[in-house]
Amino acid sequence: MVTAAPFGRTDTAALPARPVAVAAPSPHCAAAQDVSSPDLLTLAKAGDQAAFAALIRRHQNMVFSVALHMLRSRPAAEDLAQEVFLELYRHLSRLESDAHVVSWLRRVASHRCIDEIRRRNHRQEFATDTLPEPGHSPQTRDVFGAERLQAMVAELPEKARMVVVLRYQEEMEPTEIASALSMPINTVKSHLRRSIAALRESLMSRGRV
Amino acid sequence: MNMDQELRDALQRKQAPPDLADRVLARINNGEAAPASNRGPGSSGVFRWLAAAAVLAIAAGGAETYYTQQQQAAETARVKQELQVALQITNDTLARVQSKLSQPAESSGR
Repeated sequence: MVTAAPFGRTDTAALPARPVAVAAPSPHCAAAQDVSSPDLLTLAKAGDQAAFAALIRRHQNMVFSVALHMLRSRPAAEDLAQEVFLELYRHLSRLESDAHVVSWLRRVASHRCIDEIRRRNHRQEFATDTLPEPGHSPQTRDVFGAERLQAMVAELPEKARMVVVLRYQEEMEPTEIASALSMPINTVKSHLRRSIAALRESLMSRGRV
Repeated sequence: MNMDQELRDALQRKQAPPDLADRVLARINNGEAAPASNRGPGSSGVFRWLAAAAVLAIAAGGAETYYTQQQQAAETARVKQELQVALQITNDTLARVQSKLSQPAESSGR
């Protein structure tokens, strides 16, 4: 069963039982809502595998979803997510906070997705294992419309697709996307504008509007 | 149609496989990932600088070798040209001498 985590929130089921303080959250920063995060990171950096597992569970939906929306294949998304978390393990000592972990994961996952698409020319492939099972997304009003829109997003060029996924899945601001993808802000805005126009045109041509 | 909202709905986060963390940990325990801290503090930076210095040294050595070879080739070409000129001069001189030597013999024979 697939349920979507609310935007900007962490997977609370993955967290150990700790007091969670109320911070002043940024709607786009997962870490800002949980001040216990640094403890988990500190434990993981000290070699605590349970803490590292909890860190993975906290961010796995974000990394997996970025990969799934980019690659449109569950096995490929799972493999990519594993690789990203292995790389996280190698780089733990250089990360200073959970916000740092989140931005690092987004950046690495994004670049790995783009590399993977270029390597496999994944744009040509539409795997059937990405189709949602009934009841996966209770918030989705139109499952078939959402599925069609996902397929249309998957037809965008890889960088434009990455920008759209980060904007609408992760609710990131264009400045944050520019930083994550090492891309000029105007290029991000241009990708968004053109992608939305192309998607809208494609929907209109199919009689959705 | 609210395109932004449709995209948010379509691109909601999906649930990762529940055993993802276990699989990552299994790979770590199989030695597939060595944490950066195990390599020693700053070691990667030191290696990076050493590698850069080695590349620079090789490039400088290569450039010097190339420059020396170019100089040697130019010197060889210059010496070769001078030798050709000298041989030409010698040849012309010998021809003139031979011509002068043959003139008295012809006049005395008349």
